[in-house]
Amino acid sequence: MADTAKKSGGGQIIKLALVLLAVAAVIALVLGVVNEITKGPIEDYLNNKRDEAYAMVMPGEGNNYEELDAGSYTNDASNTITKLSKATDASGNEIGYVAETTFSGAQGMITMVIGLDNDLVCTGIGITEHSETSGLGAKAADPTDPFPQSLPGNGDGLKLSKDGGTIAAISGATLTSRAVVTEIQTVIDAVKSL
Amino acid sequence: MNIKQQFKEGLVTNNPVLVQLLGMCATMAITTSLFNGIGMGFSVLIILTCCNVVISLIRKIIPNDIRLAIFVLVIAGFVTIVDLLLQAFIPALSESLGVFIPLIVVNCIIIGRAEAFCQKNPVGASFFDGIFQGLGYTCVLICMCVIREFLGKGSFGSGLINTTNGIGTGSGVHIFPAEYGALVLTLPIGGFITLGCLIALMQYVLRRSEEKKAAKANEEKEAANV
Amino acid sequence: MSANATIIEIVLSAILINNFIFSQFLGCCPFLGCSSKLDTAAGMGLAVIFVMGLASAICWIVNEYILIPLHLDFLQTIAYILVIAVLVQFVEMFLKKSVPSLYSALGIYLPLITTNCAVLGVVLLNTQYNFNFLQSVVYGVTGGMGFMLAICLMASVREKVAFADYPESFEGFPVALVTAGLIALAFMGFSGMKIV
Repeated sequence: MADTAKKSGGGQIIKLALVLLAVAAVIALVLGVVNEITKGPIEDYLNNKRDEAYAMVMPGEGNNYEELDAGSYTNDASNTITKLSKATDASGNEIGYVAETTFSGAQGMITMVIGLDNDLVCTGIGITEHSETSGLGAKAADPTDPFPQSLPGNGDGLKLSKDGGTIAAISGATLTSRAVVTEIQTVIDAVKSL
Repeated sequence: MNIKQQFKEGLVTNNPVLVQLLGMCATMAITTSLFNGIGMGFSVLIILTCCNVVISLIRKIIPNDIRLAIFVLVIAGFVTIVDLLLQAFIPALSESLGVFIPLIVVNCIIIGRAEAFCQKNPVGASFFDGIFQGLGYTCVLICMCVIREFLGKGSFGSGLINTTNGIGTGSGVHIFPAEYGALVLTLPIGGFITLGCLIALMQYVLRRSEEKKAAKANEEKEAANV
Repeated sequence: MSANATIIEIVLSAILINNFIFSQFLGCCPFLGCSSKLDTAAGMGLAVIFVMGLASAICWIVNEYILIPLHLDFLQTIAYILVIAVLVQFVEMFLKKSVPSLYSALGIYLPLITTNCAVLGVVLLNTQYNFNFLQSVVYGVTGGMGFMLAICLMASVREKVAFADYPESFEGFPVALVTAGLIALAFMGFSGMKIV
């Protein structure tokens, strides 16, 4: 402690800065190594998640998806459709469309994959990200819940029973249910506009 | 500092959340399922122990003026390592905890222990301090999770027991139907109130034990005077 | 929120719908520690607004022009916390020289803004939501305003609760937490609010 008082102020600051830099460099190096190790598994997981969501809404093995250019369909005001793809099965027949969407639910943004068949009838939904309340809006993300199971088979003009249609909303989660149904309609409108 | 004493301190008398009142943000935010609670608890335990050991190792060679900056750098380094490992190998936990994993960097428990303990104690004691404080933290998280989940949804072990699609999914064992639960406990208000009651309980327990000790000391004094 | 959130959506979300304290739990430690008196609370709130806004701006620039081009995304946490620590240090020096009364009023709480979950939290959320520069700064400043609203509300209530009759075990933090919980319940009324 006594000899630090002898050093000049400038030299002391430079020494401190160098020590800090050295520690930071060592840490950055270690992190670089860990990053390399974990990059592969992380990418695999993200790709698997997307493939699983697509498989959930568009049944069939070996489907191909061809992304449609964003200018070829009309998106809604908030640009909720992030990706619209035409789906063809393994033998090349067109089986419908799959859309990746991000829209606002009751508590935050919901990221959802929607499948439509050639007659613009919903084949299923898969919610991949959300921050809805568990027990209420989060039920929409649970494949075993009656609400997402009631959506396939509904076509253009689908609405909640509260709004004059036939789909029963999740009790206590009208906002989330309405947002999901509205988004399916948005995708149907987008495909109609192609 | 013997180990038994450290164990008792970490878990009860100097519990990081209930007594030192540190690290409350994460405690209230993520304790909605047992999976979250145990996952976060063990992540903090590992990070705390590693940081304690490293800081204790370098405590004699780091200049005093920049020690806080170096602590923060070391902690941030370990948090990033754990974050990357979780994203790669337990992605369900990483998604569940969200932004609260990187926020472990500013968890006052870790910086607090580094400043208060590891600076002045050898590696062995620091290692055990990390383990026991981490255990104390994990125990509080598990208590909060179990209470909030049981009273809120009537289930136990959400994400760990009865998983439907790998670890992190599923809603656990249902003890009573979810409709009879107080759903409000799984919301932010539940977090605040449950933690408030737990701290009050701890303060009551500690006060009672203090009173008992004081009464016993008085008795012995009087017995000695007689 | 995603990258195409409008400014008004961000403002309302940060202050009311997803209030940093009552909804997202970011910034609880100073919230509970500083909220016993209204003037300390207000001072702390202003300091946090300032730090959050500046931190959002600087961290966005660091991320956009240094970390992303060099593929160093994994160093985000470290880079952000370093920026925040240095920023708070400079704010402290600046306040000491120009507004010494505020500096002495804030006392120990000013360096504690470094460990405030809300500051690092808002910067991380800006990255997660892919906000552009303007959105990041707006989210930072209004997040701070939400924090200030929360802490001032809490201080006003706590000044009254101090005279109330509650069990002895609840002295200190427990009664503050229960109070905060009830205010959080009130704020839940804002959830689902949309601007049409």
